[in-house]
Amino acid sequence: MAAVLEVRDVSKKFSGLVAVDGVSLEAYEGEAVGLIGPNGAGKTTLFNMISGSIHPTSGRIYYNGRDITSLSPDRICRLGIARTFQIPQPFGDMTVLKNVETALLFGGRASKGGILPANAADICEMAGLADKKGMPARTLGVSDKKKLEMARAIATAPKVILLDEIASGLPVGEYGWATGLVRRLVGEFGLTVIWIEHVMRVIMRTVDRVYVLDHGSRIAHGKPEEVVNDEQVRQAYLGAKVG
Amino acid sequence: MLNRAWPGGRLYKIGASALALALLATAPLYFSRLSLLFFILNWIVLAESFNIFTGLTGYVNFGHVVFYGMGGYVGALLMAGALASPYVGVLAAGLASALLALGLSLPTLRLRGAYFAIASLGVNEATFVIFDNWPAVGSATGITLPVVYYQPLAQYYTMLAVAAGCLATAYVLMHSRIGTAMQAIRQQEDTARSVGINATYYKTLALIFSGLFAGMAGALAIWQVSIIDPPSAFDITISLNAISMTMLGGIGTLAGPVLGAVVLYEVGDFLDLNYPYAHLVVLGVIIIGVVLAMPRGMMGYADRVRLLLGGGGRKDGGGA
Repeated sequence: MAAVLEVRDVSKKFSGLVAVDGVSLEAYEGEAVGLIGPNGAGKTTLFNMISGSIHPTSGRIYYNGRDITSLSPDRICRLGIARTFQIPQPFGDMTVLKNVETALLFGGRASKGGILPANAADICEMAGLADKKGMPARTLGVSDKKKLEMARAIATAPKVILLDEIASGLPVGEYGWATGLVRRLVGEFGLTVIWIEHVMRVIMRTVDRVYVLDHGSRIAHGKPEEVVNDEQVRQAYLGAKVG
Repeated sequence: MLNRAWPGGRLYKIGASALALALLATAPLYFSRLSLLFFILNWIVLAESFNIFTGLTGYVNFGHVVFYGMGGYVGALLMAGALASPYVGVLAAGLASALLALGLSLPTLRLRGAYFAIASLGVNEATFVIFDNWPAVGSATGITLPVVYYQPLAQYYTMLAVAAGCLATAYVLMHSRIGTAMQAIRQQEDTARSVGINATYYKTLALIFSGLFAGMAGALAIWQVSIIDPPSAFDITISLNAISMTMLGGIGTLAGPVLGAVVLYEVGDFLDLNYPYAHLVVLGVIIIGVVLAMPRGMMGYADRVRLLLGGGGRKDGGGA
């Protein structure tokens, strides 16, 4: 089976600093893939390149076999790759509903079709915002802002969805919301989810495969239970063994 | 979206607009100072066209007068050379400024926020220097129209038509899909792009409409005053006035720039007559006071009053 998304040997240099160094990864239809690594590993930079807000210094990115490396973020969204932002960035003065409606209107939902809900109120409900629809987005708390990130991404009717720390910062009681929604997007709607997360117990029990980045390089890849026992991964997170 | 809790609002607004239009259309019958109305309408177009770009997208354009001056020159050249009727001159001026807006948007709209504002100042300065040294447009002397273009009634009605067209365009932009895109860009541009909004396209579109109407206003002004030279055509205080009027009335709203233009033009006129040496200082103090007291302008203040009275206020933030 061909990969829905293929990142091939991608690097990003910021005036001398190598943020991402020759990373490759693939994601297939209907799977959840984890992307983990310590702070500064280059995870968000990789997302920024996939979603087109910055362009790689070298390497290519393919979506359904099509080279999308140099496309703009709006084109990439309309093709079917949606993202959330690590620090929620809603349209602050719009209501929650209007935020979702805006994404529905411009995300290319009409031409993409698909089985995700096409109604803003339904999407709000799916994301757990049913009773917050009328609130201006800037007045939401952190949890609800994260939910709105999710709702807005869903509203663009994506095939691939990039989640950037959607569970971090949530109260522990809300973790179930994140895992439940990701499972639903993958299982019920057949989406491909790539998920950056620091909360290990949340992501490790939800994703099928994990890629581990450290200092811009891919240091491990495999099933969650394999990766957590990898010596290099342990070193990246905990440091080298003494003695 | 504005008056959900205030059902009479829309009808009332349509009525008020129709009445204002009727009064202005019949003004020549009973009002002798047509040139006063002409200049108020001219400022309304300048402020509203500034608002179409800056109010909707959030990008501050300190070089708005460039479109006005460019329109003035195109109109002046066509009329002085008897190459076109004033009506065609006004239209051509608008199109020339719209084209200029398109040309300027390519390099400048790649810049974000404050960087764009600085670039727009630079564009203003550059345009001034070019016209000041360009023999074909009269260099520093400028262009003077022959006396046959003294046509107060035609000038007034053309001005009124352009003002109505400008307001109608602003209304349509604000209440359409385009307006939603621009609101999204103003509030959070990266997010707007991430949901499929081609931000560059919509910003360019806004700047083109902004340039179109400012250019027509420029040609109308030269038709009225008969003389144009670089310092008057590219005077930065014209941009600053348009900004002050828009801020005073309520940026991003349809009626705000209209209110701001009427009030500020009248107040400015009064101060100029009574305090000829200090009027800019007094005006500056008034504007600072107003911005401190009413950060969202007169329209924002009206909303607050309406909320206090128990009616519906602006809930979606802008767009009307």
